[in-house]
This record gives sequence, structure tokens and C-alpha cells, in this order.
Amino acid sequence: MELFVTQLANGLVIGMTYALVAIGLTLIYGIFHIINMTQGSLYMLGAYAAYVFVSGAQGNYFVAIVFAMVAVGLVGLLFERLSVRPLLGRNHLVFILSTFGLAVITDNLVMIGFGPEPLRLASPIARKFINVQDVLFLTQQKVFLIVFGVAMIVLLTQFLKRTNVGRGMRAVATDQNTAALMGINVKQIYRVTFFLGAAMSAAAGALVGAVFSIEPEMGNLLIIKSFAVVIMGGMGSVPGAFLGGLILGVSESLGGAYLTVEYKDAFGLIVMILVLLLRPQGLLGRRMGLR
Amino acid sequence: MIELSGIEVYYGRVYALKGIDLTVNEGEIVSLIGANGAGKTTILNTISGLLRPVAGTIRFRGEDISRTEPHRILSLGIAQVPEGRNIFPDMTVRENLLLGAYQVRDEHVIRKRLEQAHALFPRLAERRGQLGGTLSGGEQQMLAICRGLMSGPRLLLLDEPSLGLAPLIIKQVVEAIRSINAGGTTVLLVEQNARMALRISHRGYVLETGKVVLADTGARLLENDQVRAAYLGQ
Ligand SMILES: Nc1ncnc2c1ncn2[C@@H]1O[C@H](COP(=O)(O)OP(=O)(O)OP(=O)(O)O)[C@@H](O)[C@H]1O
Ligand SMILES: [Mg+2]
Repeated sequence: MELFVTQLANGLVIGMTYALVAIGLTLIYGIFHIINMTQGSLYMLGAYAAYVFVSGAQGNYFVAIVFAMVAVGLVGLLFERLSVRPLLGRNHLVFILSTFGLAVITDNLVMIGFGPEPLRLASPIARKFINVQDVLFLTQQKVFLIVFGVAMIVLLTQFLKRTNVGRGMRAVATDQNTAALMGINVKQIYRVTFFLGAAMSAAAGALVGAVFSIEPEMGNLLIIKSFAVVIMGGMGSVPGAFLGGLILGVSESLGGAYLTVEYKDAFGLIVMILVLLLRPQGLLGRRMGLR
Repeated sequence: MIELSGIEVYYGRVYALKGIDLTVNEGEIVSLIGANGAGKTTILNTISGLLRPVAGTIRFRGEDISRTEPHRILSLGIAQVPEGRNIFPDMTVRENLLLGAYQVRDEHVIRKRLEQAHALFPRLAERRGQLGGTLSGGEQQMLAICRGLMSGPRLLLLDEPSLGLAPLIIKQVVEAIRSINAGGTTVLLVEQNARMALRISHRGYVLETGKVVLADTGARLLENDQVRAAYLGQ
């Protein structure tokens, strides 16, 4: 029982990380049909931005999360300018290459700047524990990660649903020309979307970086898994990315605990295949568009 | 109010507009008629900034807008109701209307325009919470027109508003166009239904394969032998 609850909680922590990175992917895919391979690097940059803020500038860890989201959000804008804007109008497959290339460059620049060895991102709550009925022991950092992640996702869905710009993003997802006829500045929607996607990934990096350690290649496997999450949840669906992320995280964690740790990374992909066999369009997916 | 001179547009290698000269004066209803593929939609999309002319100028209230981006053109006061309505199917009637007012910041103005839309087509008021995709064709056209009005345009471009509608609904749409114009909005109307369009228009242009072949008052075009034979089936 204890093992199960603890592994479930750990699975939710990992799953939330997948979900936050996958949301950026699914937003950008849902609106522009572009697969943004820099999403894993943005996650890594979020962790390093928080590290620089805490270790370099002696800043508060919680402020560092916000700092990382804004700073990396701006990097997301730069990435859009460099790897997407010059290629607009081309076949959408070229964006996989251009963003992937940029991701490789970014990872290597960080490797040059900070070295390849893992670094520790210090959080004041990383070693404080929560004990629920002697069944569940969890660091406060993990609880905070889950709460913060849920809050981000709720805020984002409400933003899409209720605000003028959120409505504009949904309109561009459905039909760019008609959206432009409504007076929506489509280029601005690109910027907002890439900023939000980058900020979500950065939050994940800054949060989970204080649970484990950080290193320049921490985003490599994550981008692949987030991609699986996006497919499993339904391409373009924000709630789907959330649900898919949690399912993947939990199945890896429980599979690792009860079956075999060596194949932990495979369980998630097996679950993805099973989901797609039952629902080819993904859990919450329809054909196209943004939800 | 708007003046196109020598406008030429290509789609890749397809030469779609071959030097269009066209003027719409303030307060007018001007109609643009022509067969399928003549280039009517292309003209409206060029005015709206979705297409870039390779030659020619478009002056709107004195300003050259032939290279201006679509969202800037809307803010100058030109709105388009596109062919086929292009309602956002997953959004409610209300959300579709609010998208029409995307650039309007003043809540009072938005509320007032929503009321005006509901007054123009009371049917929309009843259906404000319904998804756009579930509306009938006529209701979608009403919604598209009202959505186009939400920005408070000086010039409204209408692309085949009568397409696929029953006669009774067409009558309502015609009444709406008249009352929009009476309220001070200039209208450029593209139509296949030439009789209806010319009857309500001050002036009209006849388009054939990317060129203006006739331009005259609505009444005189209705009498014109060429027009009667080609577009009125007489
Ligand atoms: N996206 C496109 N790519 C290539 N050619 C196009 C495109 N859109 C229109 N055309 C061509 O440009 C010409 C003018 O088309 P346009 O849509 O303006 O005609 P229209 O007068 O609006 O016709 P309809 O009454 O059928 O709506 C046609 O020959 C058409 O085939
Ligand atoms: Mg047309």
C-alpha cells in the first residue's frame, strides 16, 4: 500500500513534467501545425535559468521560477523568429528540422557554458517532507510541483477560453485567413503562443530541476516522451496533454516499481500504443484544431 | 472612399486580376457581378490584404493600402464577410460576434454593437449560446454579416451573401444590407444573384476573367442587353 501510494505520487510528479512540456508542443501544433522540437531545450533552459538566479544571483527559488518562465518565454520568441518565421509557407516538415537544429545548438551552448556534469538547483522545500497518515511520504517540493502545474494548466485553459487573445488563438487554429479578416494580427498570435509554450516548459524545468539534478541534455528524452503524450492525448488538445502526461508518468512509475525498472521507459510507450489502438485520434482528440 | 487602379494579382502562375479599376464612393452600395472564376473573391481578398497585388494601387480614404497587413486594414475601417461565411464552428454565436470585435477595447461599444446585431437579426439573440457549426445556412449568413459589423466598419465587403439561401431569407438579407447602408456604412457587394444585387445598388461593375467589362448605374445595367443575356437569363 505504501509503495503503491508513493509510486503513484512520484508518477504524478513526472507526469506533470511531461504534461507541462507537452502543452507547449500541443498548443503550437494545434494552432500552426508546427512540431516544435525546441520544447525539450526550453525545459532545460528553464532549469538553468532558475539555477543561475538562485546560485549565481542568490535569489529566492520561488522568484526564480517566475524569472525562468519569463526569461525562457523570451527565448521562445527568439526561437520562433529564428527557426519558424523565415520558413513560413513551406512544407510543415521543415520546421521539425529547423527547430531540431536549434535545439542541438542550444544544448551544446549550455554544455559549453556550464559543463556537462549535473548541477544541483537548490530549493528550500526540497528536503522538507509531508507525511500523510504514515502512508505517504513526499517532499514538499513534489507537492508544490503538482499544485503549481495544475494551477498553470487551469490558468492556461481559462486564458484560451475567456480572453480576447485566447479566442484569437482558437480562431487562428481553425482558419488563419478568416482570423486575419477579424483583425487578428496572426504574427502576434505566433509570438504569444511560442512565449506561452516556452514558459510552460521552463516552469517544468525549474520545478523538476529541484527534485533531481540538472544537466544540458535533460530535455532530450523528455521531448520524445512529450511527443508521445501529445499523440496520446490528441494532437492540439490541452486537456489531452494534461491527461496524457499524467497517464504516462504514472504508468512508468508503477511499471518501474512492480515489474522491472530497466524497462521503465518502455511502459509509457506501450501504454501509448494501447491507447492509440483503442482511440486512434487520441484520448481527447478530434481531427484538427485547438481545444 | 476606395479606389483600385490597375490592380493585378497572381496565384502562383495563374493571372487572376488583369488590371482592375474600380471606385466606391462614400455612402454607396456598389455591386460586383460576374461568372464563377471571374475574380470577384480575389478582388475582395486583395482589398482586405490577404493577397498582395503585383501591380496597381488601392487607396482607401487617401491612404495607399495595397501593401498593408489585414489586421491594419480592418482597423482602418474595412471589414469583410467572406464567401461561404466561414463561421468558427466550435465557437458559440456570441464568441463569433466577439471575434468580429477583436480590436475593440471599449466594453460599452461592444455591448452596443451586440445589441445592434440582435436587433438586425433577432434570431441570433435566441441562439447566442449555440455553436456556430450547428446553425442553419441562413443563420450562419446572418451571423457572418453581424460579425463583420462588430468592428464598426466604414466599408463592408460582402461576398455572395445570398449563396444557397431560400428566397425568404434572401429577402431578409437584402433588407439588412439596405438598413446597414442607410445607417451610413458603404457596401461593396459581390453577387451571383445579379438581379437582386443590381436592384439595390447605386452602381455596378461586371467582371469577366479578371477584367472589368462594364461599369454603370445599377438601373442601367439591369437594362443592358449584354447583362440581361449573360446574367439575368433573358
Ligand atoms: N488559391 C488559388 N490558387 C490558384 N488559383 C486560384 C486560387 N483562388 C482562385 N484562383 C483562381 O483565380 C480565378 C478567380 O477566382 P475567384 O475565386 O476570385 O473567382 P470568383 O469570381 O469569386 O468566383 P465564384 O463566383 O465561383 O466565387 C479563378 O480562375 C480561380 O481558379
Ligand atoms: Mg468567389
